[in-house]
Amino acid sequence: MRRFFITTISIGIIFISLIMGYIFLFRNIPEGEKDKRRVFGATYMNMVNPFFTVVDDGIREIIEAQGDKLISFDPGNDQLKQLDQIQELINMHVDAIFLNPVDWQQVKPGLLSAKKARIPVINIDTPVYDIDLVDCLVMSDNVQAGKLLAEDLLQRKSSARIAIIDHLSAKSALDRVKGFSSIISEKNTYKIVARFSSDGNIEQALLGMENILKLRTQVDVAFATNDPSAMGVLAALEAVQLTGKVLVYGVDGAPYAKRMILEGKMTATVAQSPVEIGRTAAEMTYQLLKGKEIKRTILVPVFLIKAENVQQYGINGWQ
Amino acid sequence: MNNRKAIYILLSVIVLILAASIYRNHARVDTTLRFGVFTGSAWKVPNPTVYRLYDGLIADFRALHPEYYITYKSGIRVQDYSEQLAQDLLKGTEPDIYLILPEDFTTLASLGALSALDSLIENNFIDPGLFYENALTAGKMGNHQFALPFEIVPSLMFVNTTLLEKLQLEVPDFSWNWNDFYSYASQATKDENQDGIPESYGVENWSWLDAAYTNNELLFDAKGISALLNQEGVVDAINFYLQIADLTRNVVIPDFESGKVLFSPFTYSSYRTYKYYPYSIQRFGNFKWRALTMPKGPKGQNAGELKVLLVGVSKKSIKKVGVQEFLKHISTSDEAAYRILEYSQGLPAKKNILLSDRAKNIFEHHISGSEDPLDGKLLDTIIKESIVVPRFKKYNAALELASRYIEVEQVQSYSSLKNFLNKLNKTLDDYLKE
Repeated sequence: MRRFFITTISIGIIFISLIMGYIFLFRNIPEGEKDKRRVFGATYMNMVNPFFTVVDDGIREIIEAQGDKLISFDPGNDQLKQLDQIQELINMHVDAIFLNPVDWQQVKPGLLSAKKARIPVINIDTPVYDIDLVDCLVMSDNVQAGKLLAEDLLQRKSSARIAIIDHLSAKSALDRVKGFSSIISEKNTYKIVARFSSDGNIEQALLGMENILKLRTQVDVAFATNDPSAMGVLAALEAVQLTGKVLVYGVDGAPYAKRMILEGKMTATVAQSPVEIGRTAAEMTYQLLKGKEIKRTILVPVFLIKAENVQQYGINGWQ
Repeated sequence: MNNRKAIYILLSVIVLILAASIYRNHARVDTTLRFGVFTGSAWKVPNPTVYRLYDGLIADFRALHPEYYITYKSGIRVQDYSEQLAQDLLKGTEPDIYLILPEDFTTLASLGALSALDSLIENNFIDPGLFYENALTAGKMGNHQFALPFEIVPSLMFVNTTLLEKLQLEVPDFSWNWNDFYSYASQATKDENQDGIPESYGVENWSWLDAAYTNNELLFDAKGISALLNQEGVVDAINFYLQIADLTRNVVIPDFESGKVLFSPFTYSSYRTYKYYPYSIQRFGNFKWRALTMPKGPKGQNAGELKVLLVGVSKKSIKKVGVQEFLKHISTSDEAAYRILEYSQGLPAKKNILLSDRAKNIFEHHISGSEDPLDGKLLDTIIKESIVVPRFKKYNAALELASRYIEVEQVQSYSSLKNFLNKLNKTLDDYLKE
């Protein structure tokens, strides 16, 4: 009986050793370990909006200058797809993840998975709700962006019926509305008469604005929380020959928005610098990987572009 | 029961559980098909509805074949897609079935990465007669069909109608020819203040390839063994291209977006994107414009190049039955064709779809302005008359070489254009045979 137990235990030990050996020899060796090149991942809310393509270019410029690699994903505004993409990047053992969340709250499982895998997350453009789960946040001063537009409105009109085109799942947009509202709420002649979420995209902004116009809501000002949404508003206005009769504000400083300002169709936009956001995010990541102390939040300044100064920034590119 | 017996029973149970679990996983893996796709559009225009297309195709298929699961890796941008596919091929982890960009087809087929589909056609599993004939040839290499057409885009000519009105010219007819085109272009190229910089221009971005294709000429034979640049139709096309280029010799032509240019060729996907709200506001928004057919040459039709996005099956896929069913569904079913029409920026490659009432409704959806959309019948004719360029291994390099000669070399230094093209043809022949 004793001999039988010894034999069974010996076979068990040999079997376990073989499995351990197999795992050790054939485990997936991370890309970075193979050729010592660092590999980074990025996932943005959507890349139909050229703003994120330019942020990506800024990150890529710094990373490729170091001889490293960036893998970028586009979840098409779908949080579940973005969570899959974060998991995919974790499985690839990337050195860090640049994250622009689709939904600032629902992205949390992805952040927890990255934390568990000890992969740093650099949050860009719009913050996540669970800010402690990211290593650094690089974004525009969004509250200030809203304030700049409200101050411009105050100079143009002493009273206004305003439609706000929001993006409820993006904190950046909520902050822009917060900044805007903080100025206009001081005056009782400015009324918010309509508000809807476009999710930051041109198609939903068009549909939302069409609905407002169909309901015959009197609107003098449309405040869109990004330039694609402002384009959707402009398309809805053009369809009913109202171009130029409603003040249209946006945020981004996209080349097409600057052209609309030059043509007198759009009132103003607050310029962000997506290249700068991208470059800064990449630089901070390298500092972090070197073990250096970095600031948790970096705000990139914004400024107003309107008809009077649009030529100064040019309409063919970003600032 | 003694101890030894108990241990044997325990071990047997463990082995059985392990075997059952392995079988279950294996069975699940066997019915899970991986579909290789990209985000955005193959045609360099924004496409916010691309996931609706893929998810819809999969949902329709699963409604018919619930025994299969289809997965895809989301988020790969179109510009990264070829590299990602190449890496997957190297690692042997490529999807079972995947989309193939036009420029990648020859490489994939010649590498042996694609499964030949000839038997599916021979066994009548897939009816080749369902596709536009020219689109089907895009997935052919040698005598074998390696891929099927998924989405197609024909070439169109955009005209700035604001400028046309200013010049007091009528909108050209859809059957217009090179002579008409030259007449419009020369009338539009105006330098009234004679400062050497015209105030308006005839055409921008119209190339010698557009000239050849609208004269129904190919530049190389299907196998990529010899160049065809000394053919009479190509000589005529390049001669005409040089006449058009002479209208603005030594002048930098602004792009169509500037509003100063009368004509510019674009693909159907640009029309689909920018003629409709809301993107119409983003590009070409400061003037009125519409799409026309391409002007035809003496031997040609009112149609240019047809670009084809293909779908092919990995040679390594072991899930042949499921993959073939999925391939058949996405390339030949009516439902898939309508989804392509609605959610992509291209057109389905299945014949007769564009002529249906359902297609008409889709075309009319979100139309901007008062102008009627290009109708299905016209698009159907353009597609049928378009040229699908045969691709071969050295295609890109040979084309680049030819373009450099034609666009940069001084054709005038030769006694005749024919002599110049004879010499160029020989150079290309030598290169192709190397």
